[in-house]
Amino acid sequence: MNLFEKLQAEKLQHSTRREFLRDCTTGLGGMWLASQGVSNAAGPLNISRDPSSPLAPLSPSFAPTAKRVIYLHMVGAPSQLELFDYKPTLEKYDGKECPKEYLEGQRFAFIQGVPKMLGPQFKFSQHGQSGAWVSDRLPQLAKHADKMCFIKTMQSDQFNHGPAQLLLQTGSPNLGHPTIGAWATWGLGTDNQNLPGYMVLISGGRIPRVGSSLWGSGYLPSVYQGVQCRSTGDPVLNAANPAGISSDIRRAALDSLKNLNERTFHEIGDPETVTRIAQYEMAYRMQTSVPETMSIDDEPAHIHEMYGTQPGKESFANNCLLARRLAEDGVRFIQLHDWGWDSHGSSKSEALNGGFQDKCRQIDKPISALLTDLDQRGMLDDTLVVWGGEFGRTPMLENRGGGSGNKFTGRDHNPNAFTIWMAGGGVKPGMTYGETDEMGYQVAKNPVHVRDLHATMLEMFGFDARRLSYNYQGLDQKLIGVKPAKVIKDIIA
Amino acid sequence: MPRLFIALLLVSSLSAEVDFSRDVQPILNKNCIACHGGVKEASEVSFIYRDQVLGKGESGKIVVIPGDPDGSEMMVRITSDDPELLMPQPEHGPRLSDEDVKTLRNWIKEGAKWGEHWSFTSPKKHKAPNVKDSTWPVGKIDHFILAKLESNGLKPSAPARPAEWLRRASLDIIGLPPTIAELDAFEVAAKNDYAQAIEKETDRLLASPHFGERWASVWMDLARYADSEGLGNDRKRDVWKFREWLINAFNQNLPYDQFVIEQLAGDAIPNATLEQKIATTFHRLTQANSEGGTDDEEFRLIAAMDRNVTTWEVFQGISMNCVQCHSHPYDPLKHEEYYNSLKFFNNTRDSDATDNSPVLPIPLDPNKYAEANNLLNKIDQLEQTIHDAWLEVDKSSVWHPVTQLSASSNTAHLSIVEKDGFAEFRASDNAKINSIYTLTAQVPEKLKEFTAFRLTYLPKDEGKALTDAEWGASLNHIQVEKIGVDGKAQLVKLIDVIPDEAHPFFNPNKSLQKRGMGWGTYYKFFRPRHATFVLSEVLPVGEGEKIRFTLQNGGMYMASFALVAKRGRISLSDDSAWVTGQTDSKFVNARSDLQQARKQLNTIPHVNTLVIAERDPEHSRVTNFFNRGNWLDKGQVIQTASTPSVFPPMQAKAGKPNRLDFARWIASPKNPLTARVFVNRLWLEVFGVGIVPTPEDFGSAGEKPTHPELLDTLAVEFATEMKWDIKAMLRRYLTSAAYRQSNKVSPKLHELDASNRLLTRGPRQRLTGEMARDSALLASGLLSRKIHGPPTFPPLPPGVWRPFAGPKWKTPEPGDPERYRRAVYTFWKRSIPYPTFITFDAPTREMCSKRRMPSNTPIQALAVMNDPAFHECAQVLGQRMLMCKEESVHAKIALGYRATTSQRITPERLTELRKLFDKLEQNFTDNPLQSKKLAETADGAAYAVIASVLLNLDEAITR
Repeated sequence: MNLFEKLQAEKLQHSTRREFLRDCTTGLGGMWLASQGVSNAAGPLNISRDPSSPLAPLSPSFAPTAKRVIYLHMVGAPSQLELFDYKPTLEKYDGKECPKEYLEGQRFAFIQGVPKMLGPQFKFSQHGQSGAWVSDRLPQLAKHADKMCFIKTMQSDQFNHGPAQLLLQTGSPNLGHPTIGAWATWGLGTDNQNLPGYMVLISGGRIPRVGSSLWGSGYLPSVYQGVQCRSTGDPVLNAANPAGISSDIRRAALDSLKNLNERTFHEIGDPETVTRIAQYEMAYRMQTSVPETMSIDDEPAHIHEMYGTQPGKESFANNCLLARRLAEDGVRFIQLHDWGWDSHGSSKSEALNGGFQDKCRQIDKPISALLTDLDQRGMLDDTLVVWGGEFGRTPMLENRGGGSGNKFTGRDHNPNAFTIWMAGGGVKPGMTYGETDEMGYQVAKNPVHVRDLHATMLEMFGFDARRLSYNYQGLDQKLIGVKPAKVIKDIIA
Repeated sequence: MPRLFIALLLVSSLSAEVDFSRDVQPILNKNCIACHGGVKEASEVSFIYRDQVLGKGESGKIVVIPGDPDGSEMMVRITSDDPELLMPQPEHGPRLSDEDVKTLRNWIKEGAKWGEHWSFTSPKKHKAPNVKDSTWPVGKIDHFILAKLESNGLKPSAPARPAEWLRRASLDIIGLPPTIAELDAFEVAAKNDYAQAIEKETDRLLASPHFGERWASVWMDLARYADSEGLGNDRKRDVWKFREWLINAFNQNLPYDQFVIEQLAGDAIPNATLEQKIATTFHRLTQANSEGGTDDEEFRLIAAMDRNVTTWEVFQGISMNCVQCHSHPYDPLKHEEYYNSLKFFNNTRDSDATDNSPVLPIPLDPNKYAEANNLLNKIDQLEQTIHDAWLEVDKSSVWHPVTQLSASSNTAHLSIVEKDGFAEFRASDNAKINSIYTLTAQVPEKLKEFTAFRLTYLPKDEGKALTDAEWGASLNHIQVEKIGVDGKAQLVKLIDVIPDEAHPFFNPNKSLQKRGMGWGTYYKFFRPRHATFVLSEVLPVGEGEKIRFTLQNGGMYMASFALVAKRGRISLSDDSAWVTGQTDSKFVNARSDLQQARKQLNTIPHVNTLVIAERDPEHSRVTNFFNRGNWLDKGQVIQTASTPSVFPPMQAKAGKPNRLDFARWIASPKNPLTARVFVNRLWLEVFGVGIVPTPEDFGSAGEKPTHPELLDTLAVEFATEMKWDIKAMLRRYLTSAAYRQSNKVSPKLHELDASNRLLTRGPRQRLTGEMARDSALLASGLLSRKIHGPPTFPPLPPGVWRPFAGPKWKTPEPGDPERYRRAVYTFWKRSIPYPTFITFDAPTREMCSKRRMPSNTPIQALAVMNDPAFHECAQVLGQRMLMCKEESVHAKIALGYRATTSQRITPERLTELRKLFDKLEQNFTDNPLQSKKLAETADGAAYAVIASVLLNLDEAITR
């Protein structure tokens, strides 16, 4: 059955319920059908949803370890070699020409000819009982080493930002596929019907280059796309009433609108009209709940101190605090994008000996506060926190345009090996998975492709990634695509 | 239960005999194809082709033996109780139902007759079926619709009230609701003779200049029209002349076959007009990537593959995307057939270059099109003439290879390699941008006079580059000196650079002027390329003398690649014809004409617009098969472009089949899909659901038509006697009794036919995002009816516009008509699409989108209530109500209601709104500060809020 037929059939199934609701439309948005759910028969998972309450919570196939996600995406790809993947051997090769065998068969974005190797630029030391290596750029975060699970051997097959970011979010380097947040929201719904289920927060002064496709719903219905929260204007687009329209006036207007629309439904009989009445009511509730959740003014001073937040400003710190508030209020998937990690050495802001260090300072305290805060509220156990970029960086010094002589130091894109870490939500704390070679260039042991990460994350939500599918254009489309993907069981507690 | 009922309703003519494509294929597609189809042929069994089904699997057993169900391995497997043998394997899917097993058994018993999928065979015209109620049908369409209703024991609905019909028709045909004056006139006419009024009104709507705007916005989803390039930096680019072409094409009722040919191959039509060249922008709307460090060849190929896939999807309703990596899972489309078809699109001049080339300077004023086209053709011809004439000179020239060469550079490591009788220079891979190469050549022995030299840039690996292009170079400047035996240098004056192609993107002579990009192999090149540099006069040279060439290489491309030569050769000529040719009147005149034509063209105000153009045959690209769809893993060379063998064969007009042949093959009445797909698309837009409910898939995984005879009859008539006349087809739809029905639905009827596939009632559709904006503008009286022009920038909520790379979003001030242009003109940025459109289910247009799935969300509610553009409309509509000549509050409210919903207000609604008005007026009287933010007076503010309620009515956002 294709998408259209499916939706139509679903509407049909639910139309009787709407007849029943015709005369009692109040509170419609909060209700959902008992018939919604996830079937557990063999074959592709059949998720049926009532189009009039498409975000109602559903139980997954099996018990999840994570109920919600806070995904901290460092846009531009931070250098693993300056943060978590300590390579003493690389230090020895610093300034030497890159061995030929490292270059054969590789495609680079910027490196040409034979580049020089570049040793780690910062001091590393071991932290916590787990003895994880963290550089001196992240001193606060390092204290949480025993909460974190590092994957040192992430692999992508894209080495340009746009396609790699899409791959990381949607499993495909091309546009038009649903993001993991959309999949999660479609499969699980969300706990608070007065807030969107999937919210996106942006910092670093720039929106990632692929824009809204990084939180799009692809071929899933548009209601599952991420809702971008803004630091200027309304926190959610059009949430505020226009000047001159108070909440009372809005309520009075909506009451009339409802009466008029109910009349239309009586005359025409189109169930879409009933759905529309419910959507207007939900919109009204969102108008109150979104600004409440999105205003950090009421947080106590010690919280602001801990995160380093300044109300009213666009910052990664504010977004971390907002992420906690959204998580607390029942949002399913909270996606942060922080721009500015593309340290090529092409300018001061994009250099390991420049902007990179500022970026580290901007995230160190807030992420550390977020982990502490979630932990103290008992939420870390079922909140999966993921941190990482779209690929890694080369152990070679970048030499774009054919040469160095640049006062700024940087590294090119490396899709072959990069580090991400996770915490909470059922991952094993204080562990490191996978090993890179002695230069931190290729995977030496236990590669984890982006597909594997996706399969593992879906497993934590209670879904088998091979079965969570959506029929589109005649195919059972999946987040993990058609290539084999493995769940990294070793990192799940 | 209701679902079952519908399923029964839709299977109309159940005949006793099992039909393969109707009865068997769906079972196979659902249960078997995943493992035994085009993608995977597990145990060597596949159900796509008949000979495979009648053959043996890996086990040696025959899958299906016609006439012998019990001997057929398929039956053994699907009925087995042994979990080891049972198909589908228990972990892959449930057991087949008894009914399905019975169907398959009967099919084999009856001889396992194979049938080609319905849409792959030619449509046939059918006679209009007889109906019991002969008074209802207006046209042939209605006979098919009614016959189906009657066979299911159903009756059509009563006719819609005139206002309902006109609102629906007006929004469907011109994308705007009727004005109050239009409603008045139509209601009067309908009272007289409803049928005649409908005919006349349909003609008026089809003749409206807004017709083209509405249908352009439909086509723009298919054409993936956007004003930005997509991936990477998503920069702005100028393609809006294509929208203008599209609007005109619909307004002028360009026959659909012509519409298809011009978009796919307008550039190749003999004596193409400028309009036809603009039409090819259709396939330049693919994404481009200008992110630093991206490989142009990769994204060029992605664009070429998109063109291939989009062509099949848009014009043929076939999903071809999956065939890039493997044979089609359901349909008989073989993996290699994707590449046979890709070859049609793989030889265009565009290459994902950041300068967007090729572009054409399209005059802003369409009255100048003919003049510009003449000049463009003249320029083309003159360039060709000059090129051909130099080729003649070249034929008789002898080139003396430089065999002794020394090379140096302070920013690149250069070496000399002896190859093919040349001493050629090679540069290290990390040669820096703007590197200067000093090449000193010994004058070849036999050379007594020096008139020209040839510089050839070669790929480092010539064999591999044919399929994996290498980064190119630009020669930004060249200087030549003769070094005497005494070591003294004498500057050699150069007068001309003659490239090896007739129409280079950059002026090669710039290499003589030190003014940026000159001759070169930018940006990626496949084969050795050369240019001939001509001396201003014949220079005597002798033994022991040397020629010193100083080459200044190009700079950085896309912030990453150095446009620096990696390998090159030089040869010298003593043919005086190179020098004398420069003053030969043949060249002199042609050049001066060329210069004149270019200058003249440049004086016409224009916008450089991306178009498709074909590469010259001598520079054509090689098309390869990609192993498993991976462009880096190239397989055999595709020799000839062709269409899949399941379809009627394609005839090439002359020589090897090309893009124009392909376009004509599509736009032919013999093509089984083209007309079906298009009449279905028109049907979908007007009736809300297609006769084939899956317009994106006419293959066997898509849905079957609800009225197959009707679809085929319409398709045949459209492609033959109607001569692909789009407006005439829409006229048939609009004047039908089916379309005229009221859209009221009883719970029982809704249960029987929820999505109205049988047309038990008139269509009721939510407005598209474009219609939502335009309707609000029209109701408030703000709408600008100006047609055409560059993209517009309507009001945006604050915080939305944060583009990665420009442009500025400059909204004209309130009162400026440019602020109130129709939605179709809104600047479309793929990474930041206009929020209202996306909220109302428009695609982001990154790729071809075949259908919008209407959703119903709180975000839509927030948009119409609070978006600044809608709010402005509410305020102005409130003002319109306040200021209108009607005196009473009731009349003012009734006016607003009619302006937004096209209906006359009922007493109950009036009471409801009057109650609200009184409450609001009181509130605003008590709160003057609040009131002032909406209008001058309290009653004005109250009308503004009433207007907002009206714009948000279910009736106002549906048609």
